[in-house]
Amino acid sequence: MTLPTPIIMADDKDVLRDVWFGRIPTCFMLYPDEVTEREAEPFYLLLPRVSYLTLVTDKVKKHFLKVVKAEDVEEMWFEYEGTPLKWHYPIGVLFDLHASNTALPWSVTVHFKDFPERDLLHCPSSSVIEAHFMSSIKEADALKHKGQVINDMQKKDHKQLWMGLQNDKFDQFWAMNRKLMEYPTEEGGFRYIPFRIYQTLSDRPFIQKLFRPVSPEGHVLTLGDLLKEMVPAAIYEPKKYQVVIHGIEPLLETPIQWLSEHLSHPDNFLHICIVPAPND
Amino acid sequence: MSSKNVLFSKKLLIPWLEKYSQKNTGWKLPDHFSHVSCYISPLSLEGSRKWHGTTMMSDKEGSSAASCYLDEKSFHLSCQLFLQYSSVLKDGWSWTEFKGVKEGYMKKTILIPGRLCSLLNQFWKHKTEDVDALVEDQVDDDTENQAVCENQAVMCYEYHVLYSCSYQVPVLYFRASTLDGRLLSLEEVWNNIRPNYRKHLLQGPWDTLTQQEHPLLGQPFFVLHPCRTEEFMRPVLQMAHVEKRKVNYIVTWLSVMGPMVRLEVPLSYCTAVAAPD
Repeated sequence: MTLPTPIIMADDKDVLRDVWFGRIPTCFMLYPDEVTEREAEPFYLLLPRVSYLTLVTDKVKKHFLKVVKAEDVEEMWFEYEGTPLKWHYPIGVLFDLHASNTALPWSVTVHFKDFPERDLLHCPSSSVIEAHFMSSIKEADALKHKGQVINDMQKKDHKQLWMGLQNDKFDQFWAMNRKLMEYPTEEGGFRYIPFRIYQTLSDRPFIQKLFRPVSPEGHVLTLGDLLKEMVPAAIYEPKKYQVVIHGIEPLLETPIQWLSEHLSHPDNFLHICIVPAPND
Repeated sequence: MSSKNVLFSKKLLIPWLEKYSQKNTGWKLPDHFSHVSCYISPLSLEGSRKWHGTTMMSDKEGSSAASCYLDEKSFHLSCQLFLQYSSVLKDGWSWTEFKGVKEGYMKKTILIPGRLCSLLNQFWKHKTEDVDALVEDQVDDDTENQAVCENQAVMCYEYHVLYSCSYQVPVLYFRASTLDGRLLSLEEVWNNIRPNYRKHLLQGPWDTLTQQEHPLLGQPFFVLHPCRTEEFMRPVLQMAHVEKRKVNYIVTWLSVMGPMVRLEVPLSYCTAVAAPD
């Protein structure tokens, strides 16, 4: 017996919810060399995978500012096992890229001094995060619809996307974001898929190229097809690598268009992490 | 910098301002900035007139024009031709290939005088309403000039020209540092942009200046956002198309973008560098 279509649709909507409400239990600890007036207790928080570190850590900052000497406080930044964490990548990407297959909670170190100027972008206020977020959405729409959908939206629509993310309002965000996910049925998908592939062991930050969801012959292209073209090793050496999106390993046969519509981050990019497979 | 130089530069600059800048924006280039060797490419002036008049091209003409985007292959070919001429001029441009992949960027590093204080900026914020009066004040008031120039230092500007496949246009990334290696903040970089360009930047067609990750190096750079590059290149390219002139995209684009962030493109590039076939 085949399932009636509405149930399948409902399933897909559940995927969007599951992606949105993904959380990573995190333990923040103050860098031991920071000068404190008394001992700093660690701070625990459930971080939304789709948000940004600097957007959801006001409480962390408040907690540690109670013990750090005011004159020693500069811009707050985060580090995991010696690697400065780029706040402009979604939290889930940072975790998958640097801490896949490690024990939870994720243990993140907090710094208030020696900002790594050559590694991290400054984040003086949430308007910087908003600008970064909107510029990603804009870029994604340039790939998907030549920018026509985002440019046709009004300023308040842009604000709705941002406020949806900032206040963790799934419905508010998706009421607007679904417009960015539309495409002409006859074309079978977006013009190009906005994606970024990150590799733990790589000098370059990510791979981003043009890739269409359907081949010139009309075949639906899959995650496997994308990887074969961009990072062949990920396909041909499956024992060495894991392909991770939102903490899961999607089947390589999954159509890339479906992934783009359902597993993209709110910035409208499909962020794919290629990480070393754990040793058995 | 001697006051003689300042005066010399001012003579060069003021006519330009009266002719172009004041008409559109009511702005003059203050002579605080005239100590910097100040060559404003006529190409960029031509460009700026055209962006203001995007509508001067009818849709009919527009549709007959070739694409206003730049594909990746043409980007590489245009850069090659640009670099060939640069090696003749010996003005320091080079190509950096990213290992293992066919991607790379065009790079140039220069040393120029700049200022480290934000004093000037605050000074200007208060005075922008009355620029004319200020310029006159400055002519007679050398002591004020010196006070402002106190924190002048030589700075290293590093420019990278990359290709954005999303927008199908080139993108200008840059970073600036002092000679002891300290990177300049966004505010400091902003303070070192000539005020009339600052105004231009704030009005668009750019989404102003932001710090972003260099897509090949993964390091923080400043960037003039590319999402509207096509918009200001279109009239320039359409005009060339109508006049049956071939334009090297990189030369035209860089002569518009560069001066915004203190990068000069000698005029001879315009005549000496061909467009790829």
